Amino acid sequence: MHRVSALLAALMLAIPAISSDSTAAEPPVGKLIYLPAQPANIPANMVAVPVAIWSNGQIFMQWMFVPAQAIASMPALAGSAPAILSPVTSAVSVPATAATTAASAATAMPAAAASIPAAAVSAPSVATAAAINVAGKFTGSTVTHARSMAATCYSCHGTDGKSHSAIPPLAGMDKSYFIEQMKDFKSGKREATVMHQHAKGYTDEEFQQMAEIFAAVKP
Amino acid sequence: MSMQRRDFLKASAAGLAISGLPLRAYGNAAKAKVVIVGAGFGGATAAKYIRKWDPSIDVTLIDREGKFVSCPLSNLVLAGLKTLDNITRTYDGLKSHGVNVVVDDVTAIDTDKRVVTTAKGSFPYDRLILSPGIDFRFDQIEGYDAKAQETILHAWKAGPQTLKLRQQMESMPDGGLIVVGMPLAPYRCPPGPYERVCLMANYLKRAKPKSKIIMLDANPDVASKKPLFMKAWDTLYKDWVEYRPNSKVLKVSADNMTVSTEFEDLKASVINVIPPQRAGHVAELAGVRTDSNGVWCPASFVTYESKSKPNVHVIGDSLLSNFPKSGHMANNMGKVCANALVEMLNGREPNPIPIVANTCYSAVSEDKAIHVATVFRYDPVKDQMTAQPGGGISADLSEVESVYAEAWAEGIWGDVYS
Ligand code: HEC
Repeated sequence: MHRVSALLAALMLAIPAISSDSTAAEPPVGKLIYLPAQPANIPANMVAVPVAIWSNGQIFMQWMFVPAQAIASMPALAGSAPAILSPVTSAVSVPATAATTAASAATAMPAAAASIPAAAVSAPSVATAAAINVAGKFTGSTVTHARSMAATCYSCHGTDGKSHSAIPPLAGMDKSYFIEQMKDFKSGKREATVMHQHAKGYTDEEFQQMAEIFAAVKP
Repeated sequence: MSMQRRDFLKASAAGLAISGLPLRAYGNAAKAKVVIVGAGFGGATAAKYIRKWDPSIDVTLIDREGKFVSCPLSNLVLAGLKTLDNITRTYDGLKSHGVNVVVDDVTAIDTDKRVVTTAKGSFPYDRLILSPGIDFRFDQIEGYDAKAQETILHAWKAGPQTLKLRQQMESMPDGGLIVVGMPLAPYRCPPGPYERVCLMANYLKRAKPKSKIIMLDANPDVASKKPLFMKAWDTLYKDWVEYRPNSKVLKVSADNMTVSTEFEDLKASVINVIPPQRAGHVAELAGVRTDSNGVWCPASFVTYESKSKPNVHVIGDSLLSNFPKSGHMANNMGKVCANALVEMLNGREPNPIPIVANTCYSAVSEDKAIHVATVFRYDPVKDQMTAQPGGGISADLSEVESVYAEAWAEGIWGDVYS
């Protein structure tokens, strides 16, 4: 836990905007499904730190650059920094079907193990390192995943959900009404010609993110 | 462009940069330039959405056509149920988003110097998006030369050929035969040829009831929405449509008006042969048509960056993928690509798990339509786009879907061009 908070402190130096409530990190639980190779070209004076973000029982790992200085200035971490930086061995590769729990992911990736919970800031709902919750606001890929996802609907419902056709508009729709409709399409409770098929392609969590987007549009 | 920015873009492309991190220190460089070739569903969508999500990026969209004529709904023009005007859109909306639209022919692409050359100018880029659609491989069918192409039409790019094929049907005698030939998958618009046969039959039923259509399908079976098209042929067009699977067109003759398969030679009043296809020649100019047959373009499903040329992205029908080659898919790819480029050009990671969705509506008569819908999600472990469970086809041919099919077209044309 000591190392954990030390690394988080280091990260906070690197990203001053991370709010303190993001220290409430719990270890990721679930299946490790995304583990990119460690970056080969690390910019001068930076170190690559593995971070985990998880959601819906899926853990995504990413590499994040932090100024070496920031890490070196943390006594508790200074010793472990080289370990964090040591290349991940091939033993880490996770078979597509392996339901690797956080614990076994940690053993598979010893160098990174200690730092996983540290950088894994509390549960952004989309799983990527770039989705770190900065001061309570979604940033990076959470925003871009959500906006890209909502844009899949614009093909029929119009850009930003502003439909001008027989397909109903989504712009300005009440959040809870939206979520209920999507869940009802998914379950079959609400009959549809096509929406049951689209709704099944998205998670309930994603319905929530899209609800925010459509509710925020002025109709 | 400063050296710093170049290095930074490289770092970002290698998947190194992360949102909000000190790399942002590199961020205040010159305006990034994106050049897009192809103003169809893919390219025009990418242009609009890059500007929507980051208006500081300079976007130039190049197409040789001065306006957009939609392939979706063009079979309704064949049937006389719509006009070409109904399915045509201008680029004015794109201009209002600050897209620099250039109507010109691309003559060369230098991927080392990062410059696109057209007949009248040259356009340097930081990132290039190619959405060139398809080219036809007439050489795969004996006799389908330039001269034969004047009489035997494909009408597989909407525009003058659509009208000409319509005229051929109008001027053929009642009692005449139409032969429609279609290639092995993958080709542009999987349900399109079957929709065409329905709508041609719809016209014959109304105007030339003694006439008939033979469809020669190179595929072993109806390649899209099979039960629904079969039902349309059985219930609406029994006397007008004859479907022949495993019947690849090997040879045509415009002089004799014949079309030949391994099994037979057919003489017809109207011959409409859709040839096999490959990525548009612009993809070849850029050196990205690099799958094992030199036909389609392999690219990342996260960024659509070509697997062979850095900083060149490929979307739409040209892509090597398990996607249906549809306008809806191209529109969705345009958005994912725009989203990724906006992030990368700002020194952030692209969304690592993109989602795209497809819907293809097909009209089967003047007032009935059907659809197929699928959502695809990126699987980073398998590095592939996985069709999500739950997709599928319409329950039946229906009037309500005929209304939605038209609403879909209005919606997507607006999403791309308004
Ligand atoms: C192929 C076109 C198409 C796409 C793509 C599409 N929709 Fe729909 N949507 C429809 C149609 C058509 C209806 C009417 C219900 C039906 O018949 O399916 C509808 C209805 C809805 C409704 C109910 C509206 C109301 O007023 O009760 C919601 C909510 C909705 N869609 C959300 C979405 C979301 C979110 C997405 C993207 C994930 C999406 N749609 C994508 C065509 C589409």
